[in-house]
Amino acid sequence: MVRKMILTAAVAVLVVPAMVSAQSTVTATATVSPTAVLTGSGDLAFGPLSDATDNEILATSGATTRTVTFNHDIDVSFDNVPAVLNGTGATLPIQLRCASQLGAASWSTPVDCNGALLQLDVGGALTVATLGFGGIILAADVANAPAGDYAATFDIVIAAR
Amino acid sequence: MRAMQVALAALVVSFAGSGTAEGQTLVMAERDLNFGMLTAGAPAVVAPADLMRSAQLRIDGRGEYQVSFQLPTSLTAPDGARIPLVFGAADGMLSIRHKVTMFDPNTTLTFRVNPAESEAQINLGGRAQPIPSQPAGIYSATIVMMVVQTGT
Repeated sequence: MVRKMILTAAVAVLVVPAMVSAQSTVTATATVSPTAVLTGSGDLAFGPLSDATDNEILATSGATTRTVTFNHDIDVSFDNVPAVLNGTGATLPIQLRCASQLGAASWSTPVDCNGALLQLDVGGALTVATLGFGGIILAADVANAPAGDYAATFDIVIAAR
Repeated sequence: MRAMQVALAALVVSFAGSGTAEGQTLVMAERDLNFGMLTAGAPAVVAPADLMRSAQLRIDGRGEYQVSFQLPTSLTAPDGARIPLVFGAADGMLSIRHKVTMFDPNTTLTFRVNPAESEAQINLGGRAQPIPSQPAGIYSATIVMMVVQTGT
């Protein structure tokens, strides 16, 4: 009977695990801030106007552009879009039109800048878009306007979406 | 017969003592590795000694240990965009009481917590390398620390 008791104790010691293991996890995190940069210069210059034919600059012609570089989806809109150009004591009606081009893709259909909302989606990386500007000054309006220089400004607004 | 019974009792005591020490090892994650707000194109570094941003884990219990890590090679955004992640030779820090040892988290770390010391603290830093065209977003990855107690 004594011999059996010793064997039992030896078996109990053998089943004790020699090592204990454990595992834990942590998370690594980072946030890339959204950016949108608007660059470019130059006026939408119609130059000398014709009173015989309508004076038009296509927004998709590339004559007047701005470049937007962005890493998140954005909405582009325009504030204070003028309906007239201002001269010395006179105004000249104008219809401004805007369009956009993502990278080398086709231009969007030009729309009236007043109330326009251009939705530009970022791809898998930093995206560059071109904003094009144009407009129409009707010959009839030119015929009715005093000679002189006429000008106006409006704002480009970029918002995160 | 009496002598054999005494020997059996001694075996039982020693078994109970070693089993209790091994069963008390605890591994706890206390803080994530936080690179914070990054600028596209600008690398961000978190030192292991950074008390706010470095990852921190704690091992409670005396004994000999081997620690290794499964380190991610990038942070990933929900849309699949990635930021390369690098862990250098000095991006690990082991603290036992007031003794601090830097280590390479890409290799296995071996150390001992003596009976007078109750715990070991491990901190991890790293380098995130967003590219100039990095899309905006929140990126994350999981770091796994594996601990094996190899002795008491």
